[in-house]
Amino acid sequence: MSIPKVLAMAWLCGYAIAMVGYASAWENEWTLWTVATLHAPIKPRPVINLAVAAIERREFIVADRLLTHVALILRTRQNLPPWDRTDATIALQRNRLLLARLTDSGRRRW
Amino acid sequence: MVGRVLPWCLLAVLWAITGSALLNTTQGTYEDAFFVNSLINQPPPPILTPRGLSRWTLWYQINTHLTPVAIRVVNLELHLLVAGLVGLLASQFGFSPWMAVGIMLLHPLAVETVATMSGRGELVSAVGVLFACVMAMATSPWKWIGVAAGLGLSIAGKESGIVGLACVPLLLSVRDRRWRVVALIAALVIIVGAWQTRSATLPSGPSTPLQPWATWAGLQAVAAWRLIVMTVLPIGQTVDFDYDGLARIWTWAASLCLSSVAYLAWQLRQGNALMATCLTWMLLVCAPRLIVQTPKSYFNEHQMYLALPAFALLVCALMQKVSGESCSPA
Repeated sequence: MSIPKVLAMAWLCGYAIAMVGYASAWENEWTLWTVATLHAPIKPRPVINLAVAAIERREFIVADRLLTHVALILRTRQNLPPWDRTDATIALQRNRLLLARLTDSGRRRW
Repeated sequence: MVGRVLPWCLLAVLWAITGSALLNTTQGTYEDAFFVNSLINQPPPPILTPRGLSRWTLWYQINTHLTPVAIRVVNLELHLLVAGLVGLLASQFGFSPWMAVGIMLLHPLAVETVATMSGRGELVSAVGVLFACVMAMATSPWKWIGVAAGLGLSIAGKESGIVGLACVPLLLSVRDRRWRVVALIAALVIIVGAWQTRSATLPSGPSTPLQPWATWAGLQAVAAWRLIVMTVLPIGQTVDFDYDGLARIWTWAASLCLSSVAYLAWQLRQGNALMATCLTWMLLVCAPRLIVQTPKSYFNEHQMYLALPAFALLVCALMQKVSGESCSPA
């Protein structure tokens, strides 16, 4: 077998490894949005979706901290598109209310 | 003998590993809930419309046997069919198909397409486009019926399958340069059609206003260039990249890079027509995305799926040029 063919097969093995690695992120919502948040930590949408996944897993403390992080993003990040800011604000409010109802901890001021 | 069988054995092993990884799921992800909510307990959608066939297949599965694994099984089967068609196309150009099949089957950019309901349209569309291309390269007198059927299937899968209208004459132009004029006309039809519908997908409402075209095209150019780079080096994959957070200079840089690819394709048109065709095919997949605004969503990995067959053929052509052998003896 020639060297180019061996290198080509090695390259395909590399693709397969990358495919298996990325496929593991698509196992469920939690894994998917964890990876997305790690890649885009100051983008509201993946962080909110990760918070929702945390709520589904009943990890309320994690969800609360993620939603706090979203509030911080909305307060400090200037270059968000208007639609992103609007949708994130609405989602943040809704999930805050849901979390408060689930944890029975009352409304938070923010 | 070993040299011919070993690549296929390797592909089979790698496919078994990656396939099982893709089937390892416990719930629907990404936009799956949207499809379930819109199709469950609904009458069947019409098939002979853009996206009609892919929506019908999803409707059937959602209303008969809805599990996340079942959706992915069908997607994997379609992905396998697409890889087989790519191998067939590669063999029509004189390459041994294992490399083309391997790239298509194992490319990480296909993960999002296979793992989600959103990818069903891309898969059905790719089957149609590749079937049309295979039929166009065949010598049968019935091939044009097959080409028409394939293009119809591609649009019934997803509207983006319209690029098949230019892909077919592009591939034919590798053997007969007169098809370049047809390819150019088809590409212009696609671009003009995309411009006419550039705001057609926007829902009404104040939350998603139309962006200035230059802003949209610049951000999509960054996304397109990032995905083209990831076809070669699939590092940093994510479902939701933060394009809005990038400095504006990146839009200029990405536009320059895409223009360079187009220039490279132009320069290769005489010396290596197949490479030029593959590069043009990849750019054609990206082109409508720079024009048609899809609200709140930039160029995704699954929307790049139709460019992977071109990349697979490009690699085969490159290997032949570098090593003087056609991937392996046919």
